[in-house]
Amino acid sequence: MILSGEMISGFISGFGIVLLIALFYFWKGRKERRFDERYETVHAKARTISWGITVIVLALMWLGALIYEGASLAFILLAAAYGIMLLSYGIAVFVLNKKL
Amino acid sequence: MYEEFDIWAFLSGLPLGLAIAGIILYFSWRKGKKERRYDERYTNVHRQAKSISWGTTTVAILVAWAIVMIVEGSQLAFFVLAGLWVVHMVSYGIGAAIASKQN
Amino acid sequence: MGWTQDDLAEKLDVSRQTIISLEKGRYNPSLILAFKISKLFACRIEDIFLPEEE
Repeated sequence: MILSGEMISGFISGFGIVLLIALFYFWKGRKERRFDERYETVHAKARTISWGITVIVLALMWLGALIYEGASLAFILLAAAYGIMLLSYGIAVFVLNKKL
Repeated sequence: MYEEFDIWAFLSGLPLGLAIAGIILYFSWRKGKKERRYDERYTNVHRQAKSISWGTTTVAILVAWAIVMIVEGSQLAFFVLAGLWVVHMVSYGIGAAIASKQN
Repeated sequence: MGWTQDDLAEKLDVSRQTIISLEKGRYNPSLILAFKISKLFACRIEDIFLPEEE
């Protein structure tokens, strides 16, 4: 892949479109008071469910990569992602326990 | 470095590790139950923690994906991480739908 | 009433950590827990918890 002027301009337009949509979404949501207490709760719960599923899938993929390819790049990266996932969870529990 | 990594020996050690970890977890859970450790504050703390960790994991997957794309190109690892990304996002969407109905 | 934190925790079915957090005013209890506390102390929620703008 070679970096070309077309590619960079394509990247900037794509980036800009997403940014605009996101800005509009937050602007409109703020006006409708969409991001209230209930929104926080719902999305925290959603991320908790998703976190649980990702932990299991990530562990299975890690094992799969180990058996299929041995200690390859995929194995190391998946291990790192798993470590980050659990470590960030642990740190967050520690901090929140002090704060809450 | 990992040339002589014996996968089957590793997999035979796995059940033992799982069993011991399971026993430790069971007893600490029973002790916690007695201390009423799993109350609403506990749920709140751990929900928020997982929520933060979810965000961190999202970034980690994206970084890992970028590394794979640069180093290996479209090989197995690329598709594995793409699949993981889809699972991560779809499960969030399903979670939001469930939580939205409950609340 | 001469209750220890442990006694109170047992009566409310929460952990001692939660009682400590509530006493320090760090943790916002759920409505259910707030009602349990007000019932236990035989007073109103407003007498125990003060609304605080974040």
